[in-house]
Amino acid sequence: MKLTRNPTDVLAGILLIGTALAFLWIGRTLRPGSITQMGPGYAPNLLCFIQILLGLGVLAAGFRKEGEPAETWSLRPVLIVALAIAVFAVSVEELGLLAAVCATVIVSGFASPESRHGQNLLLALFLALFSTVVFVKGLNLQIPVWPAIGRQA
Amino acid sequence: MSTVDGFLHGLALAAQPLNLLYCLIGALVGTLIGVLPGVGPVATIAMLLPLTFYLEPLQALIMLAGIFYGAQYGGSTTAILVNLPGENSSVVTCLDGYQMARKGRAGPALAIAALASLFAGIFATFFIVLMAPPLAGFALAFGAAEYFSLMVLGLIAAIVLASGSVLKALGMMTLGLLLSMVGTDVNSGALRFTLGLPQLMDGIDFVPLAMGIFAVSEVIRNLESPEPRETLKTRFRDLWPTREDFRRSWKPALRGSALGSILGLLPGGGAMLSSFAAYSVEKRLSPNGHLFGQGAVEGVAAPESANNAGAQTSFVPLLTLGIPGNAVIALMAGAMMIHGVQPGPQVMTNNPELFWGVIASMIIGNFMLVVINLPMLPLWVRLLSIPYRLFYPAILVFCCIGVYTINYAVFDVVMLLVFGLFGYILYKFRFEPAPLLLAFVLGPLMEENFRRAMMLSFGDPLIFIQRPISATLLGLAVILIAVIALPSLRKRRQETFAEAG
Repeated sequence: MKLTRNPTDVLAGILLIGTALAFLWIGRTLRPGSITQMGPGYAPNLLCFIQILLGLGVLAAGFRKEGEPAETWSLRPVLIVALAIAVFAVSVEELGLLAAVCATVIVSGFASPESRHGQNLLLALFLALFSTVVFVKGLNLQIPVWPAIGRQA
Repeated sequence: MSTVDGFLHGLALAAQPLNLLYCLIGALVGTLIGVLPGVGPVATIAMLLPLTFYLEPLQALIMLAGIFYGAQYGGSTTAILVNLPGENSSVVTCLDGYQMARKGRAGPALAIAALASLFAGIFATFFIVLMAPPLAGFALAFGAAEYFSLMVLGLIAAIVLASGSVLKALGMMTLGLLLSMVGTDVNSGALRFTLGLPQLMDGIDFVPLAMGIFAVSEVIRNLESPEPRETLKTRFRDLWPTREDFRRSWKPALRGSALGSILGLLPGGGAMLSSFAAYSVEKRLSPNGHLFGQGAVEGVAAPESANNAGAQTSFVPLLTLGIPGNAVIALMAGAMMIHGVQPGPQVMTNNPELFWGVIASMIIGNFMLVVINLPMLPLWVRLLSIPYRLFYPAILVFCCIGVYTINYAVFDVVMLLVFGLFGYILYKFRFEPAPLLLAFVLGPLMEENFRRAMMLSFGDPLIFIQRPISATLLGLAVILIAVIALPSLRKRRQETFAEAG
């Protein structure tokens, strides 16, 4: 027996309620003030309560109404794309733009089963050169190009 | 400055070589991303936003505007040739455009789509010239209460016109408002929701939020469900439409332009709504209505003119009232604020060259699109055969570089990652992210005006209904909510969006 008829909406309701509660808790020290002299906590608290009500509404609808079956989650693209961005974040200042772009492209290649690794390597080199020429040389953005070790201070 | 003088001045500005160049770049990039399914104007503008730091405000806005209306052109190309909407606003163009292509009339379909768009672009520009000054004058009389009510109406309208559950869309709105409050509170100096991170003291940056929720999560979604593509083999020798095509198209194009211009003004309206409305209106009005869906040229001319007109007039609420009506325009608002221009009625008085320059550039850009794009069609078609596996790494790299260069802060790249995952979760839970972005942009202004109104009225919330303009605006918002709650209309709305697929 299925617990709910519309799992997507139930989860959506929980998301709304959960984020509102999180905001309430993080902002618990903010002074709400009065309606004439609103403190920093007034509007956020008001919004959190509204959002909790909306979340309850979505939740209730999720239990009541028939809906589509739960979405299937494919973890591979999610994790790889996240990893690719993380790689860029970690490497851009230490290793420079060329290496960071190459690493990001190569890692992101694993997200799609259609990727071919040889092609991806070429793409990585092309994008690394392209972004260096366009962003650093062309637009004069202050991004380090080379690794920090070989860089002059 | 009178309207005519202003417009002529704008035309002279837009015709300067450098401005022409940025207009051309915008139009070309717009067409490119319009042609490619899976890369939309929201993601592209979000990606290019950091680069516009280095441009003059006028150049930046001319280019970004070009991307927006260029995407409408490009989207129709994909719709007609591959039966895949390159953009949401081209969904209905698939119906008759693809049927025309299958009958060997792809050339005339593309030409009619381009010419109808051009006609609509010119029509909408004059519509803006006529409508914007009175609207801005009207808005100058607004006080805090009116502004607050107007923003409420804008958000509500965006929600009603969005697809999917209204409750969920309202939830996205409150969440967007809450996210906009992260950072230092302007009035008290208190830190709100910064989690002790110094990087959050200035609030969440708009660019990583928009890019994460729209561009990054879109990449993940596309990777999850690859779209099959099949390009129609087309010869472009018979490009030019027949006299008969023109005779049948001019009235639908005119009606489509008018309808699109008006619907584009609505908050939450814009290109997509306009094209749907124009198609269904034309289907009823046209003597060839029974041929719709089988390759009727009217079914291409009407939605194509409407989506271009709607895309253009959706700038009006931003430039006159300071209210962004859809996600793309919200990004434009972000771009204006980056350049120190506060969107609103004062743009026309304080930055007339910006206001008229952007509007005049739209006419020029539309001409460029037709002149450049018709000969370049074979190239665009060939682009369609480049597989997505070569696109998405590039999108990710440009997102990362773009976000990093705003403040040269690795923290912003981390925010991009966080909002990318968050956007994907929202999609999985069937949330519509556009209201969140709108609310995020409007949040600080709304809180400020709410506080001010409450202070002026000594805490009496009745101020919002005692002032006539404010009361009217809120009344409209209530009517919108009520209308959508009525069962019969709800069903109708679902059907409309179901057709949209």
